[in-house]
Amino acid sequence: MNEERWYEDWKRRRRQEPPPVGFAERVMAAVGAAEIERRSALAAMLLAVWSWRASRIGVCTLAAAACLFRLAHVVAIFVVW
Amino acid sequence: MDEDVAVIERVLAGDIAAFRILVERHEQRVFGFARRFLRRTVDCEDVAQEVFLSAYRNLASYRADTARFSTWLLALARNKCLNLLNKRSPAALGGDVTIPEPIDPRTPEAALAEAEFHARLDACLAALPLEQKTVFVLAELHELSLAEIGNLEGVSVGTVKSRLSRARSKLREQWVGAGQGVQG
Repeated sequence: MNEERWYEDWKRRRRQEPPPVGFAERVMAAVGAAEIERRSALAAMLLAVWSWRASRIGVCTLAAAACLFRLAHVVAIFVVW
Repeated sequence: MDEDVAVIERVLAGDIAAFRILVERHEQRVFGFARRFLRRTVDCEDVAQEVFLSAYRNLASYRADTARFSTWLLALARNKCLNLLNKRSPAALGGDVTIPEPIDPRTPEAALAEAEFHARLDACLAALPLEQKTVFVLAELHELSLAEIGNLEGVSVGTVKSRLSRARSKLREQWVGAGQGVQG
């Protein structure tokens, strides 16, 4: 029957409709802009943290502590308790 | 689905250009879904673009074991459409309702009869309440299972069944009211 075929055809056509020309390009441009924004936001945050004296001291202290811990770990191999 | 997962892994590994594969693979489905709720092409395009941008931003949170990627995109599309419908008045969402039909090689009479049939179905679907329309579109057009729709809508399978049943009866009523019986 025609109507059954038309109904199936209607479902198929309405399920997928072609977007306007250049849609994928516009999405990819927006994705690129979002990525740049995300990276620059991360860089800005790192710069902001680094520009604060206390945070610089904190980062250096943490690095020194990690270094000492690793050193102690290596030395402990040769120490007989 | 596996093909989508492989591409998603590439994107997450830093191959941003691979995201285009996902866009091109799913754009028609997302656009077709948005079109059922928003009449203006420009609104559909805005929503579809937001869907893909949101998918890109939240790609790491997508879990392939819980939903197909296409279903996940439809969930995003559903939320974006509802947000837009809540923000704007229905009148503001009106506009270019006409959906271009592809060129038909049959006789003009046969093509016209089918185009009229489609237009009437569009009108009946547009008249459904939002909840019923969402369930009907997801079940009938996008062929999602009741469980998938339940997850997407945040309701039980029973509620989905009842909404779908109400949507079908209402659609039939409107169709009969317009003068003919609807199939399915």
